[in-house]
Order: sequence, then C-alpha cells, then structure tokens
Amino acid sequence: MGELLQRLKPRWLEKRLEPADSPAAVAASVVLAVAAALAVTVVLFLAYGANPLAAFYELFHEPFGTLRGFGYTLAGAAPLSLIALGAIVCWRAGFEYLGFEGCFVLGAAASAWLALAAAPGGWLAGLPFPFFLALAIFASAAAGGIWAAATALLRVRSGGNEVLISLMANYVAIFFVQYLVSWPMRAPGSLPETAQMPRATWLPFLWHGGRAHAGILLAVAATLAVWALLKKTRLGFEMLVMGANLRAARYAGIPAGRRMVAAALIGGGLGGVAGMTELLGAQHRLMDGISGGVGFLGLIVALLARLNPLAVLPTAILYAGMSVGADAIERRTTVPTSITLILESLIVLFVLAAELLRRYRVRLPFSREATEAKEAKR
Amino acid sequence: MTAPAFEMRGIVKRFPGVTANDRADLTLEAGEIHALLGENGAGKSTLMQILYGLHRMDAGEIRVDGSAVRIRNTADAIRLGIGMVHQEFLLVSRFTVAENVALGLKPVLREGKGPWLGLAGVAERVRALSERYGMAVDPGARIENLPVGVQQRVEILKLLYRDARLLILDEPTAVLTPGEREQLFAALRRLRAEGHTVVIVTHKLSEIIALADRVTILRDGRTLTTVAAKDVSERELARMMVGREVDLEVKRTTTERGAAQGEPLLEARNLRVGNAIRGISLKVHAGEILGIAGVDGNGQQELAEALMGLRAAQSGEIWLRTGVSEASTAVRNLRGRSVAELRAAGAAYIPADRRGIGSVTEMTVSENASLIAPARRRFFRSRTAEEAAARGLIERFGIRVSGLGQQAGKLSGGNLQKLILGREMTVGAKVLIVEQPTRGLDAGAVESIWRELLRARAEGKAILLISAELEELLNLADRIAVIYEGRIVRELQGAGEGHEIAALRTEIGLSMAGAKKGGTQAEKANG
Repeated sequence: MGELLQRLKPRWLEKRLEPADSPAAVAASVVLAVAAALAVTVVLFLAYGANPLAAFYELFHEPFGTLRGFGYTLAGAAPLSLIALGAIVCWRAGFEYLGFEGCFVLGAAASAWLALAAAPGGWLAGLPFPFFLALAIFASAAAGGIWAAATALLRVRSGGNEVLISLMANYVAIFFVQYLVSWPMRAPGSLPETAQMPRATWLPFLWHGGRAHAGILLAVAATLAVWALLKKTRLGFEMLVMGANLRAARYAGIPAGRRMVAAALIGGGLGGVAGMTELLGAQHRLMDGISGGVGFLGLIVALLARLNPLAVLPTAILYAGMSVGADAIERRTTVPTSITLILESLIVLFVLAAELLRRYRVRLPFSREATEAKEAKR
Repeated sequence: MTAPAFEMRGIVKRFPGVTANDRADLTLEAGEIHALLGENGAGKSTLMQILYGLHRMDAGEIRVDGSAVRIRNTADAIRLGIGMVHQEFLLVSRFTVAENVALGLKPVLREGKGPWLGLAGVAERVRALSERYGMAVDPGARIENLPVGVQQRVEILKLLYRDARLLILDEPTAVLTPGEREQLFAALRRLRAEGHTVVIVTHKLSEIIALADRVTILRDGRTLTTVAAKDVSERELARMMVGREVDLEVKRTTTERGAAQGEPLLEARNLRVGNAIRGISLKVHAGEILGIAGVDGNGQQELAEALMGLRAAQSGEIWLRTGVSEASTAVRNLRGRSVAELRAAGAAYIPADRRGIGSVTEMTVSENASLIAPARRRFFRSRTAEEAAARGLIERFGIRVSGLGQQAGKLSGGNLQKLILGREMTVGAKVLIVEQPTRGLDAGAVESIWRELLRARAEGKAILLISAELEELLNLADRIAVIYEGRIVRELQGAGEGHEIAALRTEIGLSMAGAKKGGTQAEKANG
C-alpha cells in the first residue's frame, strides 16, 4: 500500500516534516477549500437548471446584502458563536465535551422559567430589565454549566468517557425539556409549548424592525472573555497545558480534575447562555426542538475556527448567513434548500481535508531548489 | 583495489529550514564494524534513513559494490542487502519469533507454497541462523515474554533472514544490561567475521573503542573524518565530535563524603506501589547524590512517580523535610498527597520522558519555563515575568533557542533537557528526583547536565539519580543502590578513593541482571 502511494505520488509533491502553520498557509488552505466546495456546488446548481451565478447571488445577497436578512444572520450567529466558544473552552482543556444540545435546552428552560416569573403577577414581576438580564444570564449559565460539570465529574471521579456520556446526556436534557413543555410549563392550547415570554423580558432588538438582538453583543463579550481567559489568566494557562499534555499538567502540579470541572462549568455555562439568547432573543417561547441542532452546528463552527476564539464570530456569521441564504434560494430559484446544506457540509469537509495540503510542498521542476539539487548532482 | 561494499558520496538532504546532510560521505567495507558518531542534529540518523530508503536524498550518490543504485524505499534497500534495527523495536508482541520474522516477507523468501506461510520452515531457518551467529533465540517463543536483549536479537535475525549484508543499528545498547551488551558485541563480531558490514549509530565513545574498526564522525551534516578506532582515544573522539575539549570525567566538587552530607531530606520507608515497587526504603541526604541503578522497567519510573505524588503508593511512608525556605523544617509523611503539595514541600522531578511528561512540546520555551505552579503568578499571567524566567534559565544553563517564542518541541534533546532541569532546579526545591537525565543526549550535553547536577549537590540539594547508565552513576553518585524487580537488591558506596571501579562496575552489572548478592555468575538474560 505504502509502495503504491509512493508510486502514485508525483515527483513534484514533497512531504513536509511539519505542516506549514503560518497564518498565510492556513488562510490559503481555507480559501482553497471554500473554492472547491463552491465548485462542486456549481455542478449541482447546473444539474437543477439554475444559473450558478444567479444562485450564488441569491445565496449571499439576502443574508449579507439586505438589512432584513443580515438581522436574521446575526440572530442565528449569536447562539452559534456562544456554543462554539463553550466548545473551545472545554476542548482546549482536553475535555472532549459534546453535550451542548443539552446545555442549550436547559439554559433556555431556566431562562423561560425566570421570564415567566417576571410576567405580571409572578414573583419577579416588575424587576428592572438589567437586573432581570443578569439573573437570566446567571441562571442559564448555571443550568448549562452544572449539566456539563456533571459529565466532567463522572470522567474525573470514575474515568467515564465524556464523549459517550455527554452525547447520551443530550437526550436526557431534551426529554426533560419535552416534559416541561408538555406538562408543568405548558400553555393552554394544542401545541406542547409555553406561553410567550413577557415582552419586558425580551432581549432588545438592535434596530427597529430587524430580528438581530442583543445576543450577538453577548457573543462579542464572551469572545473577549474566552480569549482573555485562555491567553491572560493562570487558570486558562493551566487548562491549555491540560489540553496539550495531560501528563505534563499532572506532573507540573496542576489539579487536573478540578480544572476540568472548571472548564466544563465555563463551557457548559456558555452553552446555557446560548439557549437563553435563542429563547429571549428569537423564539420567545420554550418548545420542544428549540435547539434545531444548534448544539452541534456550534461545534462545527468551533472546528472551522480552528479552536481560536477570535475566529469564532466571523465563522458563525458566515455559517448563519448561509442558512438564511438557503431559504432565499429556495424561494427564488428552482434549487432546493438541501443544496445549501450540501454546500455547508462540503465546506466543513474540505476545510478539514485541507489540513492535509499543508503537509505538502509543491516543488516544480524549474523551481530554485530543484535546480540547485540538479547542479549538486553534476 | 576493489570497490567498497557500500558507499555514500556527497549526500545532501534538506528539510524545511535545516540542511540535515550537506555533502556527507560514508564508505563501508565488507567485514567491518563501522561506528557513526556525531552530536544530536549532526545528521547521523538522516544519513542512515536515506541509506535505508526512508528519506530521499536531494543530491548525492549511493554505490553498492561499485555500481550506482537508486534507493527509493525500504523495499529497494532490503533488496540491496541493507537492513536497519531501529531504537524502538518493530515487533508484534503477541506473535512468536518465527511469525515476526515471516511478517512482510516477499513470497520468494517465504518457505510455504501458495497461500501458506510455511512457518515451520521459517522457524527452521531462524534456528539455523541463530546458531550460526551465536544469537540464542527460540523461534516459537512469544515476543512479549522475551527480555529486551533477546528482542533485539530477533530484530537482527529478521534482517539476516532477508539476506542483509549491511546491518544498521541505531543506539543498540541503550536498553541493554551490561551482560546483554557483551552478548550483542560478541554477535556483532561474529557477523563481521562472516563478512557482514555493521554500522552502529551511537553516542557512547567507550563502545566505539571497544567494538568498532573505523569511526566516521559527522558534524553539522558533513563528514568530518573517518579514522581507525584503534588509533584514537575517547577524548579525541569527543573533541572531534563536539569541536572543542570535553571533560568526560567530571570530578565532584567536594570530595569529602559522609561528613559533608547533611541531614536526610527525603526518606522512603517500605514503599509499595502495585506490583512495581515491592517495599523500597531509602534515604537521601542534603548534598548527596543517591544513584539508583537498574535496567529499565524494574520499577524506576514507578518509584520516581510515587515519590512525586504522581502515582498512588499502597503502603509505606514518604518523608520530606518540608518547606522551600530554610526556616520551615517540619518533617512530614507525604504519602497520598498531591503533586502540588509535594512540590510545595520542596520536591522537584526531572522525568525520563522529556517530551511526554517534562514539557508541553506545542507550547513555547517561555511557557515551558513557567510550567510549574510556583513559578507563576496567582491569577493573571504575566508575559514579562514568564519571559524573564525563561531568559534567566537560558542564560544560566546555556540553552540554545532561536527565541523565547520557539516551540519547546523543536528544541534538541539536550537543550530541552537543560530547560526542564533548569526549571526544576530554580523553583527552590531541596529534593531533586532525576530520572535518566542524559538518555539520548550527546557528549557535550551530557557534560553540562552532569555539571549542573554536581552544582546542585554542592548547593546542598538532595538528589535521587535514577539511571540505567552505569558510567553516569559511577561518575556522579555518592552511593549507588541497585533496583531489580521493584526491590533494592544491593547498596554500594560510589566509586571513590580506594575503590576499584572495575570491580564495582561488575558487581553492579551483575545485580542489575538480578544476580543475588555476592553471586558470581550472571544469570543468562534468556533461558
């Protein structure tokens, strides 16, 4: 097999000892990956008889070229980026947590409970919005954080596998919220959902008539906080050491178990706040299926951002924008929305596969090094 | 004049940012043992990997028996009679010796017809080969039950089975007991007598003098010279390799023993760790180096980790004269305490696994300099403080780095080890647990590590030095305890005045192989 590969490999391709990891190389590989994904999509557009140029225009014009569309884009990007940031905290500390769906719905449920209590006659009625918001952030973060920390404790104490436990725990949390909206919190009516949250508890919209809400500002704040945590604090440094080399962390005297639980509290907490922004910013109603898989899409955003907190927001906005564009494309052309899903998936696949490109160097026959080598041979 | 058996001429190999080989030459005759010597990074391994087809050269020429050949992969190399034994053995531990030999054989060499392996035939030939070269091996034995020395024989037999005329051995004695080493040397001499060519890649000068016919010295990717081993001394070899005078006989700064030593700072009493440590007691005094001799895997790592709180000890006591400062002198039993507590009590540890445990290879030099908690601030990191700490270490310990932001993993072994050693020595610990500090390092680095350890000793630190290198212990330790299967089987005064070093060496060598106290016969490494 190895020999076969050796033969198939063209002479002008040379393996690098270490992947090229300069920002330029990374950017180039991402651009190439996106271009490749777009190229494949062109073929699909053609297959549906759509003009690719027009289709791409629809795809990107609506979410980024119109104020209305951009509002939807920002509204979608807020929970996505909060979850991605939570994933970054967990993963870079070496805690491979995948339970953000659970954190998200529990965070949404906790803030729904608070918001309903703030309705006239409730025990929080009349609380000024800033206080209510602080309370909602705290409650949703606590719900998500404690939920994730439970998985971390299982790993630290009993050596459980956090990937399996957190995936399974997602179902528990989702069924729990299903129960909440079906019985205790159900509003009179045919659908299993709560009553609409009181207007006073909604996250403010960024501009009149747009769907963009203050959740995106929370995401910006969280970005800075996560960046500072990882770069500037001792706690963050110790987490990074754990993620890079758990044995070295233990050797250095870092209490790895406690730090892992801390990472879960912070990461899961961000997941919970993501649920809060979706509930109080966009849905205004707790219902079954409120997450719509955002707990996993956020992980993709984290991966595409290469676990760099500063890259999360742009990635999340691009990703959320493509979902908005997908709807537009279906409305205006003959192309089904699923093509956008395919495009999104292709981007993920190609970006991840493009890592491979950075392990090779192209060495053309007329390049400087090859010429030198030839001369040395003579 | 016939052409040399193997010849490498003007070999150039560039890697991104480094030229590993820069017109290196190597000539190998049939029936010789040829040593390849050079500091880490001198290009020895790359040169051998090119010969074995693991890398392609950028320029140069390889000739076998006078005619130019192309070696594009290991299959080409094997076809030309070139074989290599890596430092890490490539054996399937659940397979038998014969199965391992049969693994990956070309159909032509396979004994069986059609789809059949013909293992019986393979076993027969392995037996014949092992008798011919004096390398006793049972073809039916499973690898996992064989000692390291015998596994190495299997690797060599694998090559001989494939009709290798040239055997390249990378650091072959690093994992062997002194007894096993002698057996290996005997086998290599036998191979030489049969007309085979043997290349040993090594740092150990004494072995070159003892074994090799000729030595080729590489420096900075170039061939410096090739000399007959009988014409040079260890000191000359070291000088040629490093490019300056090297003092291999580091003398202790304080020669007095006993009186100079202070109170015990570290004491273990009847310590038990699973099956690995079966009741070990030891005491290390201030200003003393206690050496722990033994072949790898006899509980050394477990001992170090247990003393450091990294591994749970089931019973026994660990006493540490606690407190980093002079003022606090409480003595506490610290078994079962965390690493952080042991570090706070004044213990520091230089692990054998520099890249896997002692450092975070993907982090920078300055981050690694501040890896240990006591070296860091309480809440916020301070980049300036981290960099100042790193600069201090770099200056004091002569660490060569391209910058403070360089990835620690990209440092050479010697520089990385100096970084770890420096960090552990400067956090104010009184007790240093040092495990295999010079493994894989070149002579220049070994020299400076030894100096630092002696300096720490002179400063009054208590040092537990765990090493598989007898020379190291004889050079540094005040007392030497021999560990075998989790027990201390012998304890001796280190080599000093009035002690016959040779006698001591033999005695320790025997104990390392598990011989009883006062035993006269080395147990055969393999039954």
